[in-house]
Amino acid sequence: MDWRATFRFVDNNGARAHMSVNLPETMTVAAAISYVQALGAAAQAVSSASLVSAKISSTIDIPDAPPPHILSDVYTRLIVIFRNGYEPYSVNLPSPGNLPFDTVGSLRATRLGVDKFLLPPMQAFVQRMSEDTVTAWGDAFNADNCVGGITRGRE
Amino acid sequence: MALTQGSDPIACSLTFRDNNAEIAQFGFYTPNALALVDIVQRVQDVATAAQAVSNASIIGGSISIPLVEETPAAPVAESEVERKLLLFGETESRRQKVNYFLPSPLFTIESAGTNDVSTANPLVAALIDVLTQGRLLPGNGAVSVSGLDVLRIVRATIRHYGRGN
Repeated sequence: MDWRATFRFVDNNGARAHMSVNLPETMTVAAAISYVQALGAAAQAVSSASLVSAKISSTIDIPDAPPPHILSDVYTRLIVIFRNGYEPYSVNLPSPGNLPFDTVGSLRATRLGVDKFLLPPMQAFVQRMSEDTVTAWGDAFNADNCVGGITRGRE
Repeated sequence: MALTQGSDPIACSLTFRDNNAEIAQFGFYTPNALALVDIVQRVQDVATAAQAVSNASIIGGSISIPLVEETPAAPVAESEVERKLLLFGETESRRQKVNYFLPSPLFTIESAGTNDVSTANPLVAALIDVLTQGRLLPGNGAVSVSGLDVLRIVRATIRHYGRGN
């Protein structure tokens, strides 16, 4: 899978255009950024337009995804709130399916408590989020200190 | 003057589609001190765990690292992004070709009587060197096509993709 670096230029008329290159996936983020900075500087030296921004991006195929369930609804969300230091951090997963605590009916932001994460898939999801991801500020999650609930955005 | 990213974590997202073909995004972040390939692995692992909880279908994922130029150079009066410098590159086997399009090349790199640009022009050569950092060290190419290093830029030329003509 190739990563793509896209450079955005703006000319004197305000028209925009891009230059794109692929990056090897073996690069670290730091190396990719360093490379994009060097290429941006070299490109700006040859161009009379203005280099205003760049983006390193990749799209990821998710193979073997099952088809959506007939009752699936992306407006229904599972909210998991990680109490992380002073600032709690939440993630919200679309269409959480038939979780056992979703049998009461139209629950809205029902507070569940970590002890309700009884299903192995839920535990695995919370654990995966805590191990592989960080907050928007770069802080680690604590899987032992979270609560969850269901919100329905389209009722 | 340089593109900067800062120390923010990497923004990732998974795209879900439900039975009514409605689309939703699930966003999260990974640490930025990782190899690109490791970020992909983490996104795939999160997707596997998320799919086990959701009855919608995860149809794809994306990762984006924005960089901004804090003090961009002002475009010169004659700049025109529809005018492109085309750089034709190839891999070691020469079977894989790739083109790069640089918007609004400087008029000073042009040669009279031809659309081709000398790859020996110092500014063009510097750009090519960065594009193909590994051309003297095969296997270390900075850019790739189909996972292969682009080792050479074999030709540079200027084309105009005018609006409406």
